[in-house]
Amino acid sequence: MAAVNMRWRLLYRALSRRNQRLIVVFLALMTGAAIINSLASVYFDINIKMSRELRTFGANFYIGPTVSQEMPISAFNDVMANAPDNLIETGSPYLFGTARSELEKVVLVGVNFSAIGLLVPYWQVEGDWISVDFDNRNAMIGRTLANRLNIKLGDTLNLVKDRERKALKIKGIIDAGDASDNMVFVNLDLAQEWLEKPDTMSHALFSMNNMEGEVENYAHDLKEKHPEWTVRPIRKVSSNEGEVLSKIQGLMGLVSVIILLLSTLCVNTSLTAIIRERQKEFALQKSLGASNRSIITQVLSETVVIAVLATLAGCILGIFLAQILGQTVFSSSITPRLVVVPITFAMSLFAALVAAIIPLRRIVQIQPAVVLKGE
Amino acid sequence: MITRMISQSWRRNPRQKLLTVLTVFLAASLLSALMTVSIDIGDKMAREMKSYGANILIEPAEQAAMPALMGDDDNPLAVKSTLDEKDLPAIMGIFWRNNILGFAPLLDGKIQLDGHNVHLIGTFFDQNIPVPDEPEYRTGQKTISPYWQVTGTWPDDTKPELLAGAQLAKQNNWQPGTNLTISGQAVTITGILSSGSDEENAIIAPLKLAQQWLGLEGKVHAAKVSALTVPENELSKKAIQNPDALDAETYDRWYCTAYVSSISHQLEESIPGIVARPIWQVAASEGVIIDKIQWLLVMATLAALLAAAMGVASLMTSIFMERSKEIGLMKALGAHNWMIGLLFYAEAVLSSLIGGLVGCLAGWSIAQFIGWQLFGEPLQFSWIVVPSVLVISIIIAVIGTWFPARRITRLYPVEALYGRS
Repeated sequence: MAAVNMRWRLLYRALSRRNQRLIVVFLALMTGAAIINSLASVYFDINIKMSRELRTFGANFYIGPTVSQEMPISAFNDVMANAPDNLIETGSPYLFGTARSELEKVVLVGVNFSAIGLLVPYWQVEGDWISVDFDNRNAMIGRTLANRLNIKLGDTLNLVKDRERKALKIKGIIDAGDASDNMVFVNLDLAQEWLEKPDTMSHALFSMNNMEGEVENYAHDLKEKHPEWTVRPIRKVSSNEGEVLSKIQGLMGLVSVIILLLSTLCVNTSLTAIIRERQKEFALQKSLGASNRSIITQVLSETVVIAVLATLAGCILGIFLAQILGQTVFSSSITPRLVVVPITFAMSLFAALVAAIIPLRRIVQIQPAVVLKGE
Repeated sequence: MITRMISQSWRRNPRQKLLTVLTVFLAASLLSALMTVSIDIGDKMAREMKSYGANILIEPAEQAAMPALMGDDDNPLAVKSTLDEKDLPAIMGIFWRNNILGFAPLLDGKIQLDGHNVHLIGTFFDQNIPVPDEPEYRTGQKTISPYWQVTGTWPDDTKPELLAGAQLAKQNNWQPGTNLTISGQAVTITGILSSGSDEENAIIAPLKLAQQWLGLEGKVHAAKVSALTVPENELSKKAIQNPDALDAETYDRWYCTAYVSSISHQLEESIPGIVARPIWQVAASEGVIIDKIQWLLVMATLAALLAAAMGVASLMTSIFMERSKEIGLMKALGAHNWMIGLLFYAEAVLSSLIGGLVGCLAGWSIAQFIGWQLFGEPLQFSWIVVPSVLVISIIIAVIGTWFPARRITRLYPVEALYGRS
C-alpha cells in the first residue's frame, strides 16, 4: 500500500515540478499526434474524395438500343428508379436528330440540362451553362458549328420546319474536342416535340460511382435483365478509375507512413533528452536504495501519462487539421473516423516508449557516486 | 575562442549533439523525400493518366466530322476532307516532341460485307514510323488507347489482319480466327475489341488496307495524339482565347510550357492545313486530378514541416535547460548575453548542417523507394531540393534556439549554479 502511494507521489511530483520542460515535450508530442491523426483521416477518406474528382471524366455508362436507332424513354426512367442505392450519380437521355436551320441542316440533341453538368464536366463553355430542364428558349451550340454558321454568344438560331419556326437564344458555346462541337444542344422535351419523336431517346449516358468496379457488375446484371438493350461501361473512363485510384491511395499511404515514422521519432527526441538530463535525480534515488525496476517503472509511467494526455489533445487538434487539409485540397470536409483514434494512440505511445527506453538503458548502469559527485 | 568552445562542447557531450543531429536528420530526410515526390509527382501521374487515351485531335482545317452514331445517310457533310498520311511524322518534329507519347491516324468509311454496310476504321496498331532521330519509332492504338480490351491478339499492321468491334462480332458470330473476304481480299480477325464507344460497331483494320478498300490511298481523316501535359492555368486559358493578344514574354512562357493548348498550337504550326484541338474530356480532367494530388502532397509536406519544426524546437529547449548551469557559469565569468546566444546559435547551425546533409541523402533514398514502389521507376532528382532542405533545416534549428535563447537574459547565475532552474 505504502509502495503504491509512494509511486503515485513520485509520479505526481515529477510531473508537477518540471512543468516548463513538460510543456515543451507535451507540445511536441501533441503536434506529432495531430499530424498522425489528420493524415490517417485523410488517408481513409482519399478513395471517396479522389473518386469524386475522377468523375470529371464524365459519363462512364451507356445504354442504347440494339437494332433500331431509338428506344423508349421508359428504359431511362427504369434504370434511374431501380438501380442500387448510391450507384448512379446522375444520368441523362440523349435524343439525336437533324433539323433545318435557316442556313443549313444541323444536328439537334435533346438532353436533360440539369444532369449534363456532371456528365460532361470537361466542356469548356464560353457564356453560360443552361442549368435547368424545361428551358425551351435557350440552346448551347458546339464551337465548330457556331463558327460555320457564324453565330456569336447571345445570337438567335432559327429552326425551320414546314411553316413552323423556333427561335433559340444561344446561351453557351461548347469546346469539347469531340463530336459535340458540331451539335446544337436543347432541352429534351423540345427536341422530342420538334423531331416528332415523343417519349423516345437515342441512348442514355450515366455517371456512376465506380470505386470497386461496381459499374462492370451492374452492366452484367442489366444485360441479363434487358437483352434488348445495348449496355456497356465506357471503358475509357470506367476501367481506369480503379487503377488511378489505387495509385493515388498507394502514394498517400506510403507518404503517410513515412511522415508518421519520421515525425513521431523527431518529436520524441526531446523526451529522450529530458530523461537523460535527470541522471542526477535517478542516481540519488539509487543511492537511497531504489531498485532499477522501480526507476524504470517510474519513468515509463511518467512517459505514458504525458503521452496519453498529449495524444488526446493531438487527436482533437488533428480533427481540425484534417478539415483544413480537406477544405484546401478538395473543398469538402473529411469525415472523422473512429479507427483513426486507436491508430494515433498506438503510434504515439509506441514512439514515446521507444524514446523513453533508449536513455533508460544508460541510467540503469549509473554509478550513483560518480554522477552525484558531478563527473 | 568560439570555435574552441564549440569543439569542446562537441567533444564533451557528443551524445547530446548527436541527438540534435538525429532530430534535424529525421526532419530533413522527411522534407527532402516529400519535396522530391511533390516535384516529380505531376509528371509521373500525368503518365499514369495517359491510360485515359489521346488528348489531342488533329483534323483537316475545313473538316467538320459528324458523329458516327448518326449514320451517313443523315450526314449533311457526307464528303469528308482528308489529310496526307506523309505529313504525320511531322507530329514528332515539334518543340515538345519528347512529351508526345504516341499518335494514331483515323480513316473512316463504309464497306460492303456480305451485302451489308459495315463501318470501317483504318488506323495504326503498332506501326513503325521513321521519324527524325528515331528510325525505329513505333506508335499506334496500342500506345495511345491503353483502355482498349482485345480478346485474342492485336493484328500485325503489315499483314491482312484486323480487329472486330464486340457488338459487330456478336451480331455476326465472329470469333478470333474467323476468316473474311473484303473487296476480294482474304483477311483474318485476330481479336475482338471492347472499348465502350463507337469502335464496338466497326471493323478496325490496318491503315494501308483501309486506304486500299476505300480508294483513299495515302489519306487519313484525322489523327489522335497522346501528349504529356501540365495542368491548364490562367495563362493557358488566356492563350486559348487568343494567342495573339499575349505580349512577347507571356507568349514565350506559354509556348515553352507543355500546356495542351501550346502543344496543339505547335502541331498546327508544323503541319499545314490542320486544326489540332484538345480533347477536353481527357485534357481538362487530367489537369484537375494532377492538381489535386500536387496540392495534397504540398499540404502533407507542410504538416510534416510543422511536426519537424516542433520536434527541433522542443529538443533545443530541453537541451538549453539542461545546460542552464553552464550558461550560469559563463555569465558569472562575465560573458555577454550575445556571446552565449552566439554559441548556442552556432552549435544549432552546425548540427543542422550535418543533419540536413545526411538527411538529404536519406530523403533521396526514401523518395526512390516511393518511386519504385508506386511507378516502378526512379523519381527525377532535382537539385533545388538540397539547398532548400538545408536552408529549411537551418531555419527551424535557429527558430528552435530562438525560443529558449530569449531566456539567457533572464537567467540569474546564482540560481542556475545553485541548482534551482
